[in-house]
Amino acid sequence: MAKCSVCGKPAVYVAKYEGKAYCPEHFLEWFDKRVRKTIRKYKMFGKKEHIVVAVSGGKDSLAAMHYMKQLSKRVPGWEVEALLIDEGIQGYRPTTIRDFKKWAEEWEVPYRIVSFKEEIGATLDEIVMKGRELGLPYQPCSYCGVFRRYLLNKAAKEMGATVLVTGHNLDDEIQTFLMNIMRHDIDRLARLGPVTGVSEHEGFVRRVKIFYDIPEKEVVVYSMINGFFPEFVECPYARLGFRWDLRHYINLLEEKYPGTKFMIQKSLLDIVEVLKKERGGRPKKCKICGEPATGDVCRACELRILLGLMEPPKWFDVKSIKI
Amino acid sequence: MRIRWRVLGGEWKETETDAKTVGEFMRQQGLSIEEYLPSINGKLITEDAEMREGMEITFVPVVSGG
Repeated sequence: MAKCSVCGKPAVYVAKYEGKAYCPEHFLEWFDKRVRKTIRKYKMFGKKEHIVVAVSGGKDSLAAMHYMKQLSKRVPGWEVEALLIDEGIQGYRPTTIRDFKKWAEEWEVPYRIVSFKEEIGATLDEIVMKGRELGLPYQPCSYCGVFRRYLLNKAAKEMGATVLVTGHNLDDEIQTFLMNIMRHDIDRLARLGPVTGVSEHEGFVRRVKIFYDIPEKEVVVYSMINGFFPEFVECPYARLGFRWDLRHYINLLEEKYPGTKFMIQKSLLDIVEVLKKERGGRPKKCKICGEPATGDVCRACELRILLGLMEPPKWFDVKSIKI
Repeated sequence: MRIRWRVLGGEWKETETDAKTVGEFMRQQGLSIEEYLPSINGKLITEDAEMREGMEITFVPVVSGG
């Protein structure tokens, strides 16, 4: 059995891409060192911050909440809170909300829960059904992604956040990168990176991805060693999305050619830097809800209009919505 | 040898195998080492761990369903 490269005790994890193995104690040390390096490299936080962690109750966001709570104990000017978006997915979200509440209370992290039903007017299950009835061409993840981002920003602002932490890891980021390439969505590519949201725009809460340089597998190891790996439940819509297949292919490549994920991320960072100069225009303010938007009306309002969850204003031409 | 195994959240299965290591067993079962972490009684083990008669292995899915 593999031995820890630092102390020689039995290892619990082998990082093939760097040819080293770690016991629990040295894994946590190595993990912490790399997350802190990411935070410093991308200047994610200042000395005084009101940090809101976006949490779903899944392993990545629970790990982000756990990590930020621990780190904040060393920084007196940081206040950490959590924000959970309840999309309303039967058979899935109630379990993760239960896990989230349990750990938020145990780690003494104050939190707020915001639901699609109250803020958007329908649960995700109802939205998916409505979309199908209306013949809209979207997958559940498309609605979910747009409304979640919209609500995270809106609710974080209401909470007085100076920065919003998400649990996105290396795998999430490169999947999104490749998905945007495969869909030829170049404008979205320009919005990727470890720090997103335009800080000087009053409508945006800056978003940071503290696990940007951490593979998904290592977030699982972190949560297992710390004893909070949540009960495994799968979102009923997860396998319908493009991302599901794509991540499997990327994992096959990583297994055969260790280090592939980091090389994709390097390419992403170089490409995004060029694109930000070319296409990284300042966002506008949605003329309907006032939230940040790339056009005159934000995507969340467009979708609500298409779904019949919102009456369009008289000046708005519904046919202008790009489907 | 005969071992018991499951994917976390799923049913336990009993399988006869000639695999020498956990990694070899995972390949036999079509479980990618990038997508599952092997564990025994909630403690992680590495894929080069030797297979033993009567072992009970839980494979933890890396890919969450969110």
